[in-house]
Amino acid sequence: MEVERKTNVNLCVDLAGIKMKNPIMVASGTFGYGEEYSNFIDLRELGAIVTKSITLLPKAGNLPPRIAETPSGILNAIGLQNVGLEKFISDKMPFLREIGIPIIVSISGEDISEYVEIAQRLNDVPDVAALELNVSCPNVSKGGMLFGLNQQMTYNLVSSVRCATKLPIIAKLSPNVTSIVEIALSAEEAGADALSLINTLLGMAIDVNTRRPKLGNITGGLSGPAIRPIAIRMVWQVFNMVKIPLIGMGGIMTAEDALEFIIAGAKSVSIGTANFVNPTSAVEVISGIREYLQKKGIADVNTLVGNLDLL
Amino acid sequence: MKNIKSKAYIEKRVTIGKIVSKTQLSPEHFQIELFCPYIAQNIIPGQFIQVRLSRQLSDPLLCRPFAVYRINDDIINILFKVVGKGTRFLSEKAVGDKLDITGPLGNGFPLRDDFETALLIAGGMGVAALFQLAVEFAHHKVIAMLGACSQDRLLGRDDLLSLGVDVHIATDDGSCGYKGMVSELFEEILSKESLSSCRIFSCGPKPMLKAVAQIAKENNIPAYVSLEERMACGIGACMGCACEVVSPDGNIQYKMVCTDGPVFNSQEIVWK
Repeated sequence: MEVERKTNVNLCVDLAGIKMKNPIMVASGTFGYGEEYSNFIDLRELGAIVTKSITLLPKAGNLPPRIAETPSGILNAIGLQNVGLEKFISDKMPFLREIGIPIIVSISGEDISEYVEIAQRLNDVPDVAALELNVSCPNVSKGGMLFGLNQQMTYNLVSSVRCATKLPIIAKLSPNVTSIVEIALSAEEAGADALSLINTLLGMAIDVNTRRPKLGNITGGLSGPAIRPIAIRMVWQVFNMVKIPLIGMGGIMTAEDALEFIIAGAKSVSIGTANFVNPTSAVEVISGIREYLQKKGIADVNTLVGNLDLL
Repeated sequence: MKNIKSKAYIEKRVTIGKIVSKTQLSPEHFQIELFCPYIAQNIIPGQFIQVRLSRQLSDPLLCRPFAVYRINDDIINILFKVVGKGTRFLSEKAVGDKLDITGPLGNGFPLRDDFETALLIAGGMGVAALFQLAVEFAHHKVIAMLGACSQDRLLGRDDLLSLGVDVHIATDDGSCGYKGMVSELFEEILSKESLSSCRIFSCGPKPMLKAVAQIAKENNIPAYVSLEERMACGIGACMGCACEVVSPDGNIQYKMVCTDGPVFNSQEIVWK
């Protein structure tokens, strides 16, 4: 009888000081405040959770419809609906803290002072592992993506928040730029500890029967498998130019998709839209990566990072 | 770790439904029966399920939310109209195919027993969310009003009649029953019959629900409506399925159809 031999593989990663049991995170805006998924998966299995973006004051969000399905993707224009900083700290953080995995708080603002104020307030909140600066939301009229489209604005924002916190800073970059490498270099120079890429691509869809835009906000952010090749390309380009670690995301549905990002240069990856399609996606990706490593005889996932074979 | 659910409990929520029958009811209406014990045993009328169309394909990508039209032991019955890519895809599934199903989701209709007559008012596909209520309220007087564009698009009548429900029909073209809107039929019934201690349960297109809510308000009848909205996750995470409501302090705010609804008190909704 053949004995199944399961080799132990290491999935642990250290991302800018954030110690994770595996490289699988869940992307901001796709996982609520964690609690929403607690009926479906054991949250303790995740590498880390990135929260829905928090603003200083609660935000009501955009006019519906906010979601439109497109070929292999989703357009969304939620408009950063969130409970606001204080309610996040009092109502959402206690549950997140109890999970016992790194909690990365995504923050957004209309101007630099709002990001700085949120960062300072979060200095007093225990168990926040890192801040992710959302400089790439395409669905708000002020702030958001505007910061991530310009090198100088990215630099100013990241360096201002850098002065306000000792927590690791992750800048989440917009793909809606001519050169993502230039923006990435500005964020790195300003003191970012890691980069998340990519946020959604600005898109639009029209109902030809009514001639109405399919989103109340007219335009929205495209996510899902449709954008994956663009995200892979950007991760690879940025990996070759910066020293700080990358978090790759954009249409990851399976372990194979996640591995593509890791090989392109992402030290960890985030599951986003797939959480909507199948709430157990993230844990399935974790076990799929473990199986891949075992099958390939790779002892440590870290050795795969950026290990693209160009010959 | 009181908030972190145990694994045994967790795994029940995404389940598999196996198609045991498929029937075409009209050129665009289909009925699919799925063997799905967990949903059959746990869903209450007005709650919904998310049906994943394919594990392999990413187009169509999102799950589709459906009401469970009726339950027979371990079998749930989905009634739907082909309106786009997702419902067309589902209509092409075959007996024996398996689908990933998440649920039961959302809040169902209130099942409190403090009224005499249940008024079920459905427009088109709306009957899909209301039939199980007629089963639930078997010990009450139940009056159902069904609206359809024409007789061949009429859904649910025979099933309701077999429960002994008093069924009234309205069609746009007058090919069956009252000629006109189901909300107009409702007004006519209210003016003819002396109904006391009623409660309205309604589902259908938003203009129809708006008319029903208005009539309910004028006649001081409590009304519960089941809303539809474009939805991604169905579990309150994406904030996609927003609808405007009036909060108790009079302010307008967004609630989520998936987790705050899909059933709402009709007076809470900002009707546009």
